[in-house]
Amino acid sequence: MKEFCFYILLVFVLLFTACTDGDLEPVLSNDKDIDIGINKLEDLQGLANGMHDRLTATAYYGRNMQIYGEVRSDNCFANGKTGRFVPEAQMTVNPDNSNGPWEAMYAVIASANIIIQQDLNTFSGDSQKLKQIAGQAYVVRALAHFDLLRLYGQQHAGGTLGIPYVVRYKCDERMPLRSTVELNKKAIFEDIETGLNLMTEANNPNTKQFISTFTALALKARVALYFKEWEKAKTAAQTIVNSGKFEIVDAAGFVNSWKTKSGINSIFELAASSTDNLGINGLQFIYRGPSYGDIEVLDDLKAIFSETDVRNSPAMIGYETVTGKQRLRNMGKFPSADFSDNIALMRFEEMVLILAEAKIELEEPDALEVLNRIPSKRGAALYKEATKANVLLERRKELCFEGFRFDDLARTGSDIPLVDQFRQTHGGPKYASFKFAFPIPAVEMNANSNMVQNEGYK
Amino acid sequence: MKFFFVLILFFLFLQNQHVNAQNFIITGKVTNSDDGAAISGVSVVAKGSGLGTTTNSEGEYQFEVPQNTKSLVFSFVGMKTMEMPISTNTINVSLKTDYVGIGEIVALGYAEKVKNEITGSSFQVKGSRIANVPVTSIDQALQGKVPGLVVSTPSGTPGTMQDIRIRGVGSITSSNNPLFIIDGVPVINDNFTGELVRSSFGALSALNSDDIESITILKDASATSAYGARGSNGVIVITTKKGSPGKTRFSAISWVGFQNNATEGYQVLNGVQREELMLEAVHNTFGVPEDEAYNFIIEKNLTNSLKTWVEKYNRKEGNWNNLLQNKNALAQNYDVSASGGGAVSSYFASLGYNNTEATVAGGGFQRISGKFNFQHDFSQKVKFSSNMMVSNTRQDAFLEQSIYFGNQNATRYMMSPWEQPFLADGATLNTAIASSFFNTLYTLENDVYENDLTRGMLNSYIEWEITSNLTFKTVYAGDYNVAAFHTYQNRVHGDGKAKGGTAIQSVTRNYNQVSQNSLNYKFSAVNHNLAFKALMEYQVNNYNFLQGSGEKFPADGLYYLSAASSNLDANAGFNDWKNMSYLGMVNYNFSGKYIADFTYRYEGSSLFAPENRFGNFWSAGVAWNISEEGFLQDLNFIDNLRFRASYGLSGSSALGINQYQALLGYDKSYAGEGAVYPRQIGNPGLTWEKNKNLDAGVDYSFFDGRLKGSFAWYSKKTFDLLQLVPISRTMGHESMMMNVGSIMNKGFEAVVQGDIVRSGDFNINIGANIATVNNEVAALAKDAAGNDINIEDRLRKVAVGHPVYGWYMRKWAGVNPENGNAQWYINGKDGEVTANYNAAKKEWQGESAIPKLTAGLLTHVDFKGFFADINLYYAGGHKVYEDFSFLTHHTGFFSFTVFNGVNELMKRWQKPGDITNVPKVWYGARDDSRESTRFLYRGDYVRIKDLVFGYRLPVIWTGKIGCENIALSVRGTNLFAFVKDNGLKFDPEVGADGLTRMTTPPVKSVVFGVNLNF
Repeated sequence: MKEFCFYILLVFVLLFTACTDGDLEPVLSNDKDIDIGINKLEDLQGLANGMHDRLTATAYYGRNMQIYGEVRSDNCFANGKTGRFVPEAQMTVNPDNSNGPWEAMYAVIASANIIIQQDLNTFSGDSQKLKQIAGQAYVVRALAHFDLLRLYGQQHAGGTLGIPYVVRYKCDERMPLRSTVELNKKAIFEDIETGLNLMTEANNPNTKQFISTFTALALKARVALYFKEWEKAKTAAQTIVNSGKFEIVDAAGFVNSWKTKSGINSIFELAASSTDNLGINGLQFIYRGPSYGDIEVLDDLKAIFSETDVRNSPAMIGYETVTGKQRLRNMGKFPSADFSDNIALMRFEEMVLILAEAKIELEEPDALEVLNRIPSKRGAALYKEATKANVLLERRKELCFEGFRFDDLARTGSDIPLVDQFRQTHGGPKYASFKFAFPIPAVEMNANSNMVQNEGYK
Repeated sequence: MKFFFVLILFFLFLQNQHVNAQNFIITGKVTNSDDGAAISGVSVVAKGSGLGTTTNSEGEYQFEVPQNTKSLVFSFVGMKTMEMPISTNTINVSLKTDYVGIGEIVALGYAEKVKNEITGSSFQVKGSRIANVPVTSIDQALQGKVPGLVVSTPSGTPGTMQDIRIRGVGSITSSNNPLFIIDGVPVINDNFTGELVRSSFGALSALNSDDIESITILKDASATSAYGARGSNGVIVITTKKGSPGKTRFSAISWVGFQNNATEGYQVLNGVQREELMLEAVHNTFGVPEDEAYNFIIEKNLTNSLKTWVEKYNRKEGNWNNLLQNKNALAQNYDVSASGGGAVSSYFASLGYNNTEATVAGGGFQRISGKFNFQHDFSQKVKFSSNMMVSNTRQDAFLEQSIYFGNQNATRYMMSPWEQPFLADGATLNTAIASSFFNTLYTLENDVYENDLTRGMLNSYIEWEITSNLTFKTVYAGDYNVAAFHTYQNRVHGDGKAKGGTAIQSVTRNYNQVSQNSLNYKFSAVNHNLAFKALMEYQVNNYNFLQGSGEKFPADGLYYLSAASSNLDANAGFNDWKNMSYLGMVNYNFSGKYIADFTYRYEGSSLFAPENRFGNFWSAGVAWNISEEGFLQDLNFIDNLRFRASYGLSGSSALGINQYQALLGYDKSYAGEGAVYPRQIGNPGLTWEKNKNLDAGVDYSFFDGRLKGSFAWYSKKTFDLLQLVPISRTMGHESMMMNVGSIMNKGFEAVVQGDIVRSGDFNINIGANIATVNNEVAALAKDAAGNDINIEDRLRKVAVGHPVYGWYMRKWAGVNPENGNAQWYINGKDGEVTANYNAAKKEWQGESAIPKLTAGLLTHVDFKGFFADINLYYAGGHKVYEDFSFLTHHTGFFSFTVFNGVNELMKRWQKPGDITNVPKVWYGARDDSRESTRFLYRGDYVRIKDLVFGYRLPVIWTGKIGCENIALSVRGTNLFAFVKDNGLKFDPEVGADGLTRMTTPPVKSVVFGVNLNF
């Protein structure tokens, strides 16, 4: 009978260990399946948050985009302390290391396209709020394509090729061709218009941390300026100026405005906080401090300011002693040691300067008055003439360290000025040199045989 | 499936109601034919019944055998098996030493087989060969002992994982790691480190090498297809020690010794050399006379650190390279074990302790392990065995996976010698370092960086002999790993300073369980022997993760999260994978001459989409034991000669969790709210990676085993590669997991072993093994235009017709003797040169990181009680790239302003006509040390892996104190290496990617050991 008991025992063991084919289904704990995960307003808002969050990537507006605009100019240089931005400052970026911004920007576009291609009629929730989010997505899509074009397009490097304009997530065209700069421009303006049509001012967010109708207008003004469409730039900038929603920060408040969230001069800024920030990979760490601090200011920039200009105060451009050496630094923009500053992307002051520049180009009589609105609030002397040179000088003063300088040089057909032979390493490339465009990344070239490399990198 | 087994049980229950026949008793004694000594533990089996016993400590046995038994079979490890007909009630046997080894039992995981019945390629290493080797992870001890197995060392930090490659590399972006089997069940071999930037921490380091009975490496389809789905990268079968009947035997093993970096590595620039280079660079760049360069530097505010060093520190050398090494690091190991048992039960128990310091300052490794094996026969037919292992392993995990500012190995090379590690008092560590790198002497002393793994394994089975032909076995195995991780970065200096101190604590819990049920059926008629196996296996892995982090500590000396006051954050997750398979095996053996086997496995994995989960895998093998044929019987010098061949299909599911799904990620936030983003593009068509493997070989043994070995040829084609294929970044993702492409690995392996001298007290044995790998990419993913999607990084490329990740970079053309400029070949090969780095093309530079030829030489000599071993290992036909050379060889400011350089830079070009490989120095950015063949070296080397001298005390002495065996030994590991390319200053043993790293280098050790048995 003992053996019988063994049989019983074994049956128990088998019941314990046996199983069926259905036991192979895995668990998803922190992710959701994309096909079943989006159907409510809150899902769409989550995706919009994700889209905004992707704008803050280090390789994009978290840090690199701004620095590219500064080290490829006469504003700043890379001291090579940690090796960061050395190729960019030399303007010898090669295809092996030009992929960061390319990937970050197309990731933003993917996030925008997922929102855009939802059928909002099937969603539950306030339909105007849903449309507002869709509008934000169109604007972000335009912004990211515009930024791709600024870095990789051939418009200032002697060519006509732009970048692929992607309008669908997981589209069938897996290897898109490069479009032309002209077609890119058209698509960017179209997306901005679509965004404007979907959004309403009443539904604009309470903070400046999300895309609003004014962001769309500001982007329109900026793109129009870049492409010398002065009427368009003027109209968009004028609309913002006339809205009465924004003001130029005055000299007394200027330093502090960089620590203020959603300030009166802010049109759009990216959110950061002391608990959610890029830490050492953000702008604070690259502009200052002993650990990175790779980006220093050229004496030439400091020299253009007057003594009384608040933008030249030690709190804005000053000396920091690190690793046994005095270094000229951007002290005032993105200043907080705990990385908690929001990243200003569109300021009202930029709109005033766009308006002034458009008026100068259109030879309107009040151009000088508009231009002088900025220096008058900075403790600086007023301009006597409304000239292109003066508005570019004022832009350099007002917008330094925010990444505008390279494009201001490029769009006006200027060479990159060589003002410091010890510290600038690019050697002052002439306008329309191939160096004015980044190479298409090698990873893109390898995966997409339709892609055409920029001249000079083949 | 469940129902099926119950049905079989019921059927067997009915059928098995037989009555025992009349039995009779046989007694006898078993001795060794060499010296007449009694042998205990010999297995005595009544042929045909499956009943058996073992001899006691006097070599005697008493055995009640069934009446119809014709003969008894006597077998013992290392002895020739004998079969004795039953003619009287007393049978005494004298067993002969088996030099040939054809009766050797080889553990194949699910089954053990006699060597002569195997059709596949496998290689067994006895536990005794690795027991005394001073390594923290047993895989490290295998190098050079197994043909076709390449073990490489990405880091010498104790406890880290090794890169193991069996017969080349079959996968491009998926794992190439073999499958590990312990005592018949698949186990995980994951990296349990808390942060991937830190030293890896392998689950294998939780095993005590003294608990290992044998390790078998399975290489071809016939051997691995039993593991079907997951054996395509080879299988490593570990069998742990079990109890054996007889009086209790105790064993104690201990060794103590010291370790150092096996290779000296580069010397770095000292302060005086650094000053010389900086002044010369200023002279070269700005045209300032060299004697005025010092003042020029200060006037132009180029740097202050030179002035500080000269005026404040009086040119005192920092000497970082030496200070950050832990010379003569102590390593010690103690193990005690006991084994014994009676007629129905036996046990093995052990306790082990290992403590190994790292050869860099500030850390070490500790392991306490215990093992208990218990075997008991519930009845003559039902056997039970349970195996338990528990260990706790602690590792100091260095920030070493890249050149982090807190990486002490990087600090050795990159810290300016002008910076002072100590304050003026000479005792206090200096935290005011004017460098991006930290004073790692301070951070190592004041930070916490600890990995802690507790691993518990249980493996129990019941084996029931239903009839003499049919057995049923059910196995349950659990493997529980609890990994705790804790870092604290102090408030004063280092990474934690900016945040007021930071801490991370995490707990990873991983439970892996396997259940197996199998039926074995044997059938013999005249010369035909058939064996069948049906097996079902189910494996579940549950992974749980919980991590907390925080910043801003109110006071020093507080290390745990409770004291953090800001940025408190928590992460947690759960994932699982499951594997289910059904296996059928048939073995056919015709009178020991002709062997054939066939294996089929149907396996499913949760890692694939529901419609693609299951795959079919199979293998077939044949062997011809030609020496058993009548026509060779007259050739007495042939002990054994056999041919074997196998072919089959195996697979791999080596990919991450949930890769087939298009997923939205929810782990980000924006403006204080949850942010959702497309994490993964997904691929619902994802299925098994497959591998077709052809293998043919010869095994031979001549002159009574004086010359024996094997030869094998293989051709392995891996296809439907699980590959992370780069896609156009315009899709918003970098890559997509696909089944595409194929890779060929071909080669041969040979083993020769010879007893040059064989006599009672003088023996010389030499063994050699050699293996080749010819690796080539046969196909890749294609883009829509039909072009291959090549994978390229800054140094390597994957393209059809070349080895996987063949070296692909610009070709160095030396220094122009006229002007000291660096030059590269414009076309990447030969001919015209250019001084413009970007004008030179990247080109294939030959070879890859995979050694084409590896070999081992193992020599053993013993004379009376003295013994000596020397083991050599050779790897060659590959190239190694010196990573981070861009910084350490920089002829611009990185080496003498920002960081530090190697003293090789002192050979720089200085004046026209200088012939050198180091360009002139320059104060500014330079391309000279960017990726090129200047830093690509031939990887060939020979290393003395082991050098052992020992003495076994005579039994007449040891007997007086009651010991059977006392052996004393001194062992040197990795003592010397001969590197072919004298440009390669770092250790030639690098990770499988072929890059030198700023990790702890491989170590050499000298240890003194005592082995005791009583």
